[in-house]
Amino acid sequence: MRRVFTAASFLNSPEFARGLDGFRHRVPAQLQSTGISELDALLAGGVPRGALVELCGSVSSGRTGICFSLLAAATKRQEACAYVDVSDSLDPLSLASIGVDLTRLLWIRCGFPGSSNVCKQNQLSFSSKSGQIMMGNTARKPNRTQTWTHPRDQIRGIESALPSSMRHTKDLKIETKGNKTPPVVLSFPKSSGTPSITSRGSNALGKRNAAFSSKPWKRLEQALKATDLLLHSGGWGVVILDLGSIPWTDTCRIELSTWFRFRRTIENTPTVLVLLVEESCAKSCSSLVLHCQRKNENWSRLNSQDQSSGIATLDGFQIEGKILSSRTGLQPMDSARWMTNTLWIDSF
Amino acid sequence: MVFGCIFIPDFSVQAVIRQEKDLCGQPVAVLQGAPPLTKVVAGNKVAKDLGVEVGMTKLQAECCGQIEWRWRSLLQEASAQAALFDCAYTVSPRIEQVRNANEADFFDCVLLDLSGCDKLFGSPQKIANHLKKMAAEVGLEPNIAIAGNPQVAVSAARGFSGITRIHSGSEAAYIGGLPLSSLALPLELRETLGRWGIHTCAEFAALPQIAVIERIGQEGRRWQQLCRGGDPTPLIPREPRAQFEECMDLDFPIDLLDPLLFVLNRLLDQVCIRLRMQVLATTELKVTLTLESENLSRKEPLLHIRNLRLPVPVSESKSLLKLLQLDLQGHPPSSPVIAVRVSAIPTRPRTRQLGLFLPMSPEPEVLEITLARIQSVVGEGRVGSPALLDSHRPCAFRQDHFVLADPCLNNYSTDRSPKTALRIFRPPLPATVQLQNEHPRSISFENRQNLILAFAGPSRTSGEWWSEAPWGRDEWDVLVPVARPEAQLENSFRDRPAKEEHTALYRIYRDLHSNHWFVEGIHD
Repeated sequence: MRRVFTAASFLNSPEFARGLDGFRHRVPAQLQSTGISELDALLAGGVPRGALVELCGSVSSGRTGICFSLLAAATKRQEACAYVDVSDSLDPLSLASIGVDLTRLLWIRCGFPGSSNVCKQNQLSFSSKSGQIMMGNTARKPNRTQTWTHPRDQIRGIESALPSSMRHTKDLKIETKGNKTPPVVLSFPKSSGTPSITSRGSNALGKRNAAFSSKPWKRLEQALKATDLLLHSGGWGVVILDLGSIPWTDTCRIELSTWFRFRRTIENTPTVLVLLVEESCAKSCSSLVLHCQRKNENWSRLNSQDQSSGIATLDGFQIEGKILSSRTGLQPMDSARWMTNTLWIDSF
Repeated sequence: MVFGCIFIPDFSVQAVIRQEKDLCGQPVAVLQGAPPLTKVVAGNKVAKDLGVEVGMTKLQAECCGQIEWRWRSLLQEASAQAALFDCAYTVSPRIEQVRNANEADFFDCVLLDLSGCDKLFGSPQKIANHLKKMAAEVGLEPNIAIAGNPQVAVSAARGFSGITRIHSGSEAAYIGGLPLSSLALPLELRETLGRWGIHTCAEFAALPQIAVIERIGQEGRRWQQLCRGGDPTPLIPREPRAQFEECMDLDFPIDLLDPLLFVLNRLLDQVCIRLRMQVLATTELKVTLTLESENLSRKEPLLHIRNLRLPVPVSESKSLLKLLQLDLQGHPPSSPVIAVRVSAIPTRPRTRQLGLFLPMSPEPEVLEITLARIQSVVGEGRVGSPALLDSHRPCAFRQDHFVLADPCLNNYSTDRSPKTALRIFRPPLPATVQLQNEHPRSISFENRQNLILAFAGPSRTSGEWWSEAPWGRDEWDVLVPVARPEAQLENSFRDRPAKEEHTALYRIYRDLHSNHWFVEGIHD
């Protein structure tokens, strides 16, 4: 007898009930311990896996120490971790003293022009025997009417969208090539094209690429691209995107679709993506937003009455972590406090 | 005993066609010699049907019709010979390379000892089919013969196309019908027999043996014995050389990456197929690009060499091509490319035991490509795992290539109290510090001047006083007020006060040698 399929029969079918049971009894998210017992107690076990977690706070609020503890716990379980360092501010000594297995940590240092920019310059400088400039096979020009850009490239050229007051117009050179992807022409890099390097004051120890450092968007572009590549390759336990040194006014201008795309990439995977920021910028894309604030410093002085004696050491400070928002059932505004020690306390 | 022979007809042409599969089915002729002495040295069957003959000049051959011309490449022929050897090695370890009758250094034939191979591969017919399939994978179309006598197998492979199976006792009948040109007879002997009216092996075998010895010598006796199906010459096996190299000479210079990758893809495919034939992989790949030189008087070729070192053995051409692409994008050659050579250092493939409880880690092949991509974004030397140096000098570390560590028992203990971290400024920020009673009172850096609310120190560290670069510093930890931007305060959460004081803990130091102050980092 032929069974007639109707909507009513589907609602009463065992297949639908099975799916509904799955919705009702959602599998709780796996949690990754942070390595700090008070924080783990606040978070009911740790940060959720397969989710985007934001650690926000101002400078010296203890958020970097929390990230390092998270890395230590993950590397102890022999998971591979990655740290995307936008401002090149990571201290390997701090990592090692907190207990991170450095061999299992991939450190990506942004803030350098990179080889891709050098190659683009070479396209214009390559010349054939006859001296004509060869720009590639003209018979294979890309489609000019194409308007879709890969999400990974959406951040490119965003500096042109910023108001003039937000830009350093003297150092900025915007290449408005649209969606063209010219072929890579093989040629040897000529001795030109590196941005001018200016030194800070009378610093004779080293020179910073001032032109590049004054453009946080170039570093952000590198960092977001590197994070995208890492998340798509998969297999990472913890990936930390350190935007702690980037002003909030810049990080809030990162498109929300970027965070959404990151969240979707790590969904149903064991990877934890941690954003280290001044203020929350991922909005609803983050599963947990934790705000950190430094409360009290612990100065050990020979003479506790006299704060100006100078013979003292900074032994640490107290941190308060507060949940601002959570998708894992935690109560917002719950907080916890714990003491941290500086590197030379309890040294091994 | 059973012997097999793989013969590649028109070897020079096939050595070219295996790298340019578009030429399959088209008339192809190979030229050699400097003009005006350029002559045809080989042509495939289609070209010969059009009238091309070996020894013709190019001008004569052009009258035969639309022919695809290629210059002879000894390197490509060497690669083809190595590929042929690898094919044979998949079946039997006892292999001998047979020279061409006309050229001493030319091996277009391979002889195999198939004794005992029937247990692995089955009947001789199945072995022959397997060899044909292996040869097709490396781009060669062979003639295969299997006989109880090595020289009979060689003669049959040279004389008959396709697969020939000669049963024991019928060698004379099979070989008899072949012309004398199918044997590797010296040219002089062949001409002598031709003048006598002897053109086939059967006619030569029918001559009286003593008369042949009297006129030609023992060599003639040996050839006559071969024509009768018997030759006691044993197979002399050769140890295979572990050399996996493919090369191609380009007809015109290439100055774009995409066509170069197309060529590299073909060569890598062949290399990886040959590696897999011998159950090998590679951890080091060397790509040599011969460049077009503008200086015509230059005798040595201009080369652009790239070495790819892989952390794990790889035998997939796709991964290698991607890594090569990223490498060439970062290190392009200085001139158009006129020849490409790819060579792989063989190694044992990676063996690992999978488990249910292994820690999570990225796939090694995918990881390597990801690292190369990230490196092309952020620059060389900026991607890797940090490693501390054995030195007390501040910020003494290096960055090693990131390699997945094997799971092991570690002694790391996380039962430690939470610690603060230091965010480093690279390079350190120059600062001006005003002192009061030898204590820091105010600090100015990055166009900001702040009073120091609290401080700790100094802590003196120094080292390497015995070297040419000694270092020494007095370190302080200072508490400094920090101004927050108005926009940030406006968007703060409601429960926090709009104007709250913010301070930061900096690590500053005074260099003892230069007496300059710097801001090293922030405690966070």
